[in-house]
Amino acid sequence: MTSKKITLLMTMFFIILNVSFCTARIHLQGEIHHPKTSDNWDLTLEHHSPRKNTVAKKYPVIICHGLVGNRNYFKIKEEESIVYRLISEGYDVWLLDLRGRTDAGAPSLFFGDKTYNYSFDDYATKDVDAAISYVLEKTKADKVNWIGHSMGGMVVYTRIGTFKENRIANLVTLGSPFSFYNPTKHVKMMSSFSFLLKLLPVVPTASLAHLESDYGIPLPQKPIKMFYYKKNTEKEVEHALKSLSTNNESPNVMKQFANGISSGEVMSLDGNTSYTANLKNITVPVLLIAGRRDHLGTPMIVRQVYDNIASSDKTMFVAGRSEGLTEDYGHVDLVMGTNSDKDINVPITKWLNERNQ
Amino acid sequence: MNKTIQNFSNAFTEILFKGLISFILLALVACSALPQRDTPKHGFSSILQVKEFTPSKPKLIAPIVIYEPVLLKETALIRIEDKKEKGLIPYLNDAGYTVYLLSSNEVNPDFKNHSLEFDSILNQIAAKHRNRDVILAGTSLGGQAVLEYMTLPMNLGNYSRVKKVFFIGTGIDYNYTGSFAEKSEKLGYEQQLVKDLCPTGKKDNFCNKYIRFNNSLEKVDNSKKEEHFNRIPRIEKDYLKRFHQTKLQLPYFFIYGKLDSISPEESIYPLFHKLRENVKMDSSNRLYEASEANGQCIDYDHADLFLNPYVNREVYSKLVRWLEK
Repeated sequence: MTSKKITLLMTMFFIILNVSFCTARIHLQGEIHHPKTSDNWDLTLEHHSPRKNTVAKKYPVIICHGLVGNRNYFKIKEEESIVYRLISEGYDVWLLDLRGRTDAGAPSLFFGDKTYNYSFDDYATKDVDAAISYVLEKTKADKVNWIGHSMGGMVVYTRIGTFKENRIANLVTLGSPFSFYNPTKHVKMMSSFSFLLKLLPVVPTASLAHLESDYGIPLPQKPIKMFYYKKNTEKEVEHALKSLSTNNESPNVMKQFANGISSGEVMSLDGNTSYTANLKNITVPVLLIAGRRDHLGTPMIVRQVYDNIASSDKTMFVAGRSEGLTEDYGHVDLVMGTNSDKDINVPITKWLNERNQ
Repeated sequence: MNKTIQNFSNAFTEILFKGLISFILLALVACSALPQRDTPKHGFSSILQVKEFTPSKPKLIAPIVIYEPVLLKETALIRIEDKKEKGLIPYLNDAGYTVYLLSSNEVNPDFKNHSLEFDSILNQIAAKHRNRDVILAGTSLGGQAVLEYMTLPMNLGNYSRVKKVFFIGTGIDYNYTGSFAEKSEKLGYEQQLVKDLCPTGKKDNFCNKYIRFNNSLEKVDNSKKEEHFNRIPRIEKDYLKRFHQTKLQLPYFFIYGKLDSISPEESIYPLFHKLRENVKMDSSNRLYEASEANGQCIDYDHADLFLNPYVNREVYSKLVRWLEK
């Protein structure tokens, strides 16, 4: 066989491999809305109405993604997703994409009025405000339930604790830290690269994830292990996560996280306000879920949130085998782990149902 | 002639007798130089039993006093594998520390009744070591006896005797929903033998939930883990409130396993946080997670902290480094 033939065969093999990898699709699709923030950014809200023959629940639910993610990973599991579980229980569900996510128009790298120069503060003050206002206007409800994964919970800790948000009836957070206690070697290693944030116009996390999912170029496994537990994640789900649900991130947001790892608490971008210190102002009913194996929103950090919020109705749930679950959960598998519907979504729905009669 | 024979016989008997006495004395001296293992030393206390483990090459350093793990058997701290002694105690002995292991004579020990005895034993041990301060250690749920001791009012306890404190796999503050203490109370785990809570054929038993972790079966023999489990003590929830402020100024080291659901990380946080907030806090306080993300071969569970084949190198070495500081 000539070398030309070998090259041709290998190219075809990679094309086939690539095509097979690129087929990640999500069938669960809702109605798309683009509310505007006070500073003129477009957000995306994907609306899923309750399924037929269900009893409507008191408040609609807004679900918010974490750092470097978008709303898609809440749907990857299709009929076993949190979205499907909630609409089957009669909830009106709104999936939120914070600013900078591509479905509402990707920011430019250098020019124009929308670049990746926004911060965590913008998420908490403007985006959350715009999303809640929009959903309340559309549903005519007076409050919402909020479910946030990782940073999607942190924006609401900030919104309620520091900015006195009073339109959230019930709060569920999954692996949402609000300090960075006792960071592991791997977390410290990641934050040691924070000097790069001054040089980059964007943190190209989506591009990196696509390198692996679409082009088969493997990424270093150690940092990836921090995000999810491979053995608790089906291959196709893992692929869809990288291919459809990873987003680029603003260096300012990352900088606030890196500063948090070194200082131990979440601060405003200017460093003048400790959002962590204001946890004491949270009084709404809260369900805090942490994965036993999670290295980002660790049970230890979630316990800190639990101890510091003033809610009289607060529950902490550590997702692991000691709770009779099938696995000790990592960070993202709380949303899309092999058995997350039974292990995580069912307890969330039960908790919400008790507060949405 | 007879007299000569008699004299000779007497002299021979005397030499033989002296030789025998010398031999016994020499043997006693030789034995005392050998490391002692599992030799109960009585006279310390009536409730608590004290065992002394001396190193082959003792150093002039503070002795370590460990309360028995209770949830785990003593054998988890000193076990024989491949004809060699392994576990925490031999490791500390090898580093030159004399170790005292305290255990209760009661079937269901109540830690509250032990604190005064505990204090008296610490005094006696310190006196035996030229009044050197002692290092207190809590292992597994037995560490709660150490916590109980730390709640003694100042006028009763002789705290100046304590130099440092370390805990390995000890749960501290269980005041949150769904804690092991809450479940233990609800499910009637309290003071039951672990083997009774792990009937074969039943999936939802204690061992499946808390002991068996399948992330590294090839590295950790889970059947061995079960052998070393003992009974579940009653778990107190309010140590932190009763903890004496003065004792917050001691240097502490907490070691926990990432997958430990019995003495989980979230139960340790409140005390460590209190220590961190204390203005006079000793800077050598440490909190260490045994996990893959910190470079260990696996995420440790409760039993791994004592039985993992790599625990010496991966975890105890860090403890000894802290002790030597």
